[in-house]
Amino acid sequence: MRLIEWASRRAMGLAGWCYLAMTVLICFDIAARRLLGFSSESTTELSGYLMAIGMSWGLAGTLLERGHVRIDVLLQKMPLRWRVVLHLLSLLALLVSIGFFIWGSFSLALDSFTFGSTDLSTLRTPLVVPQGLWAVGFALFGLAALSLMARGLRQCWHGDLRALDESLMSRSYQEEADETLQALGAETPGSASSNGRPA
Amino acid sequence: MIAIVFLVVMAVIIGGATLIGGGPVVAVAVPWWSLLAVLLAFVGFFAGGIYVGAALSSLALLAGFGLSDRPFWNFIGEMLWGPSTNFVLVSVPLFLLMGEVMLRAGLSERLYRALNVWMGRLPGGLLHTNIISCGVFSAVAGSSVATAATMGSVALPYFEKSHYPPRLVLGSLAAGGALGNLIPPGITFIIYGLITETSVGALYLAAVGPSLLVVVLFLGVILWYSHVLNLKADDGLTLKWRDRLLSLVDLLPTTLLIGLVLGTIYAGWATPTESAALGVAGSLVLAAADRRLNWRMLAESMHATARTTSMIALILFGAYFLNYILSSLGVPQMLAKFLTGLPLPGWAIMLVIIGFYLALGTFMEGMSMVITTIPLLFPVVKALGYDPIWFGVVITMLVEIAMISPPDGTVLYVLQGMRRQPGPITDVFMGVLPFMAVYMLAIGILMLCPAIALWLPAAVM
Repeated sequence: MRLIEWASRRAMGLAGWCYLAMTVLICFDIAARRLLGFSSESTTELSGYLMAIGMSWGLAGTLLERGHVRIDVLLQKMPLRWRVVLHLLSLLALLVSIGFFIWGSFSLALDSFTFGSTDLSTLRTPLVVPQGLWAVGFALFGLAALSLMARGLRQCWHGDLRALDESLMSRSYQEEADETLQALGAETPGSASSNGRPA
Repeated sequence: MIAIVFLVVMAVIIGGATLIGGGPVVAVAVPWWSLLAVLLAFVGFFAGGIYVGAALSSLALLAGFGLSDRPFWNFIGEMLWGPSTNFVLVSVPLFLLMGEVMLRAGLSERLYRALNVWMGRLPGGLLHTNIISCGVFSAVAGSSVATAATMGSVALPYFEKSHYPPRLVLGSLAAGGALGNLIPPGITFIIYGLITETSVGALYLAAVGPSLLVVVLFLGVILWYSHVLNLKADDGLTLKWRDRLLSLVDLLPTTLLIGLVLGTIYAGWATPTESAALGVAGSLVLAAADRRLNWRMLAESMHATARTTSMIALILFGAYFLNYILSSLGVPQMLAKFLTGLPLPGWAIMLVIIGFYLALGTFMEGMSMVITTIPLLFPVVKALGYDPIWFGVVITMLVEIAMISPPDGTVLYVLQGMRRQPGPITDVFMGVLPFMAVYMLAIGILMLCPAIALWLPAAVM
């Protein structure tokens, strides 16, 4: 569990770096094309790969930070017991979907490996590399969802429904606003900053 | 509640029209009851608060296994890999990263002060500043909630001992924050462009006219209220020309950045994705110039970017999955045929679609709303003969209205949470209503006169 959380956080960090790397890559390409008169001719492909990898690697961390969107208008108004049931159901639906995503991504990567497919750019990247890394992100996502499920069931067993609710309820606008204010770094007025944020 | 009533009324209208008009006979590839079952599951999943992405792909699985005999599971990999590596999508995390960096670069306070020097002269002074600075800031920052929180923290102290009615203050802040996705570069346009294969550059050009229209209407609302309530301009400000020119220095960084991003797109020097990368580089330079750039700030920005991007990604994956299954069943074409065959004029169906989005928007987050519905409704809109680019602008405006519509618009609650003088949330609701009304008026104007959006792309491209 701890290991999965640690890995998810790391993967999310790496996803961030993917995006920064895309920036550098594209800016370099523009500069090269405008000023030096040549083009690397594979920036589009490379940044596409970075994009795919960043997206899939960030999924697990986003799940653990309760960042995936759910429509919780009704959910919030329900009694705790019902909420818990729905939380677990959503996780189940998520697990099933991820199962198919994992299957799809790994079989795609495997196909590329078997046929030795490369892309059409000048680098002739073997497609199995980005696709394999991409699939690993989904696998991590699956593990994170599984471990959340395991923890949820354990909490259910112990009757600790409140903790389960807290760890699965989606992020509220209040948390998002607080985070913005924190990012601003200014001393912040009003009640927004005085409410403690659950970590 | 309002939303549910509205949806029921709409269903009755469409159902009635079908019955009265005899209804078009559509060659149905799948039995209607199974589609109804999928639709019910759809509503159930969403109401139950299932992760939107997971709900979409579960539906895809249901529909796929239940209604299709094609081995769709063999295509999941390619289906997801295609959009994942799309160069258009690359601009999403880049714009997000630019916004996060700008947020942490500490420009908001100076932006507000400098704009106030210029806008303060109008009757209702600071209120105009609210609109303009929210508009400018949200154009860079991208998220409406972030904009409302930021500008709320900067602007509300100015109003503490002022003569401005709190309703108008809060209303103008909320309204200004709802400009963010409409004023280019916004992320809704990218997602729309990705799904419908429309040019993002053209969408950005088309958004210029409507953005100006909405801003002018907003300022008009404030001028009107200032006239009615007899609000004066702020004369507490020193208004020497030297100070004014100095204030421009504070506006310079933001202006430069917007100029860099939009200029390169509009001039055709760079694709939106490339200019987004330039924007990130620019924002990093600005942050460095302000001595705000450090590892922690960069790491936080990247972290927030990764989270938002993956959030969008999961919904996108689900939507592409579902859309793949539904298209293979011919559902979007069926829907388009059905709706265009109704004995209603095109504009009436467009009004129904707009009403549908407004209703949906009261409880659904904007991005997931767009990603979920566009694949289904886009063929309808095209079949009705509406311009895809025009529709993209209208959709974005509808999403923005959803953000500020009582009683569920998130932006309103953010502002309420930041008020210094306590008051009921209805202050915010009442304050934002006139702005919402004008926003809808803008959509109406755009329906009557699509050229407001379309002349610029036509002239440039």
